[in-house]
Amino acid sequence: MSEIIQQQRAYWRKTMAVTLSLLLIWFLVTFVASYFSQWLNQWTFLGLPLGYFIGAQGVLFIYPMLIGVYALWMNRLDRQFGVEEQ
Amino acid sequence: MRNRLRLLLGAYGPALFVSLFAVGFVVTVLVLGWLESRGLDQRWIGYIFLFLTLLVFALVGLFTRTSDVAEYFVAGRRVPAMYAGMSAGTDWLSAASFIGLAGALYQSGYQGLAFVIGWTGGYVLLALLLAPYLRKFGQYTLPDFLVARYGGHTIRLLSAFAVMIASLIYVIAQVYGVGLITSRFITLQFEIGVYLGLAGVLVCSFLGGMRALMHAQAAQYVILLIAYVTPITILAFEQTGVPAPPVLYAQTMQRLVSLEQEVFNRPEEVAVRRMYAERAKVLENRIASLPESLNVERRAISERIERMKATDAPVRDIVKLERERRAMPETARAAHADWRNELKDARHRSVTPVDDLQAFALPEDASSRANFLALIFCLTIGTASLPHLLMRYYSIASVSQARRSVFWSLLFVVLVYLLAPAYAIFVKLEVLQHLVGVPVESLPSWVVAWTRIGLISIDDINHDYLVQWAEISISPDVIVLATPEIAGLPYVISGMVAAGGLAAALSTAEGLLLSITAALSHDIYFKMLRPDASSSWRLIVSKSVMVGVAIVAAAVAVQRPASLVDMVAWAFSLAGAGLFPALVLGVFWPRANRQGAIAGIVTGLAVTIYYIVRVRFDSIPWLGWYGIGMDPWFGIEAAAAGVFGVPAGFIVNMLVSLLTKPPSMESLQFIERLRYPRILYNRESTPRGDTEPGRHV
Repeated sequence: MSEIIQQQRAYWRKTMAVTLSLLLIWFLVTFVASYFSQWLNQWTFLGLPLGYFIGAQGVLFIYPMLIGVYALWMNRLDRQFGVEEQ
Repeated sequence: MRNRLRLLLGAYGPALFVSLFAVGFVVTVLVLGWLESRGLDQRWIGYIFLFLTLLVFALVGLFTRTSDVAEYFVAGRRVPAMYAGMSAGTDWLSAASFIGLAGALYQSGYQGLAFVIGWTGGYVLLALLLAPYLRKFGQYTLPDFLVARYGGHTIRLLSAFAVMIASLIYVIAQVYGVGLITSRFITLQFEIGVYLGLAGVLVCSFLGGMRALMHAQAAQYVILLIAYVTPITILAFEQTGVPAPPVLYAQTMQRLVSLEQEVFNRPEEVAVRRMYAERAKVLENRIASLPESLNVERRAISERIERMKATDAPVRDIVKLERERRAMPETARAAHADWRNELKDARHRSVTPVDDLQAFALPEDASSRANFLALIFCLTIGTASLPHLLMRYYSIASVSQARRSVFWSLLFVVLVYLLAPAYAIFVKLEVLQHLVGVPVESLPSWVVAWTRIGLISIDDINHDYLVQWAEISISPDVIVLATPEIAGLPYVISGMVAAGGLAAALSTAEGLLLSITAALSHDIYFKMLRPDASSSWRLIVSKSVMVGVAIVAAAVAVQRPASLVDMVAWAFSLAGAGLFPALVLGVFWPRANRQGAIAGIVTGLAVTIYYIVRVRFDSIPWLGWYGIGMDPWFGIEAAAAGVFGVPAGFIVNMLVSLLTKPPSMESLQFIERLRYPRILYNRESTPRGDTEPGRHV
């Protein structure tokens, strides 16, 4: 019984770690990059100033990737800890 | 044999349905295009498109009609991830995304990217913080979840109220979009278009609920995507010669920016801007010396008319002045409101415009960076707490599918958003090249068409009979709808874009209506007033509630209360401030309790509503409130009111929770169960989903 509880605790800790690390990237891309957009504009990427590029196109690639990574990672974690739905 | 066919249809049915539908739609467009070249009247093309869009709804509703509660509200909880994602994507892509996004980018360049970032960034929060847990809980509505977590009727009433107010404002915005499209393309009256559109939506939701919605929305995604991609691809081809969707628009952007810098600094532009600055000053004085100034103005205009009559001026000019006199405000209060708007407009036109790449540099307000970030904040939080979107995750087959499904819906949304800046850039280039400097007498035909319904106006302030940039006022809602005409495409393409816009607006309206209906009939009627109601009676109540809500929404929308993007932003702020803190703390912070949640929801909503009302409205005549306008805090616009409401909700929720008793054992167990897709100590080999708490249908 207590072993199972420990296993569940470990699963939840891992879940929080995954969630928080992905949220950190999300925060950097969303708010920090937007805040420094003017400064980022001194570089260009694919012909567009970097700050503008991140807002207009970069985020549209990064966000789906974050969610995709989360789904794969969590579904694997479920199996690893044996808490997946049958 | 029959069973095998069924199985095959079950597995490939959705994909088959979507691809058949896509082929059918393209063939229809081609046939109509051929008919147009044979002389079919434009008006009929409009009618046919409207009719087809509504027919899809009606047919899907008819084929998937259901009288089972679980089927009606959550589609039987067996929708596969990708299909659910597609339909949630359409649910998401509203009139604001389809029409408003490109418009916002056209109007404010970089500043408009807040919508792109906010509306997609919210999906990350949704995926990581809410979707899997809501699916694990698996009931019908958001209040269901909050009640299971915190307990008590108060929380159900409050959260149902939050759901309703946010959804209602959002649905009004959609209905407004429907009216806009029908009044331009089908030349129906705005009001008739609104009611006709809603009728189509109702047929579908009425019969089939969530299950019908799934299929109808997958079909509508197809219309929407084709309609969004085609015109901009052709316009870009005309400008650049590249026959592909203009996802990479860097070169055009550079052309645009250098042209903008050249045009904005022309001497005649500078002169026109100075004239607007002078007009602003005059208006300021006039407002300051109310109410005498109103009489002065009235006398002045009358004198001018007399003088013109005496000197045999052209009748046309006299008639114009007389119309102006009739349109003059009657009371000092009305004059104050009118002139304030004119002053805002004149001030806006008098500042030097910035080019599309310039980040946060609207000189008239130093707080544009703060506003940009605040708007992103509100839109992300709002996205992650809009009830019609969250409800979707109840209908998915399992927790792991729910995680995947968010990915798919964002992907389908992104396909559309990638092209929004292209619309803004190419249309602006076109305006700068072919509208600025043109004589007022020979405007392009698309400008004339939209001027007629009041969405474009040219104000020749310096009387040089030429158009200057600062003299043009284009409603941002026009950009996407007018693109086919700007590119000189046949009318059938315009009709197709209109159909796409209608699909976007109607599908979102439908999802929202369903969520309001669920709040009213499930949460308030069934759970609070009549728990003993039979399930068939519950559905009858739901359906009548839906008709009532639709009528209310249409009645408000025909008043045209505010612009599309404004209304949408308010809905996001309200949803975020009302629901997000209670939901997220409910999942991740076991110490949050009922008192905290109640206080949090009330504070969040109150702060947000207060801010929107006082910053945005100077007076609310039907309540008899005048002069309630206040200066914004830290220069933050009303659209981003959630930036105060959400933190207030969080702080109050946490403080009150800490000051009162910890939550009961029951709530703690509930959170524990929420965390694991399957509970280990239950050791039964359960069929999927049956260990969920409180699943009694």
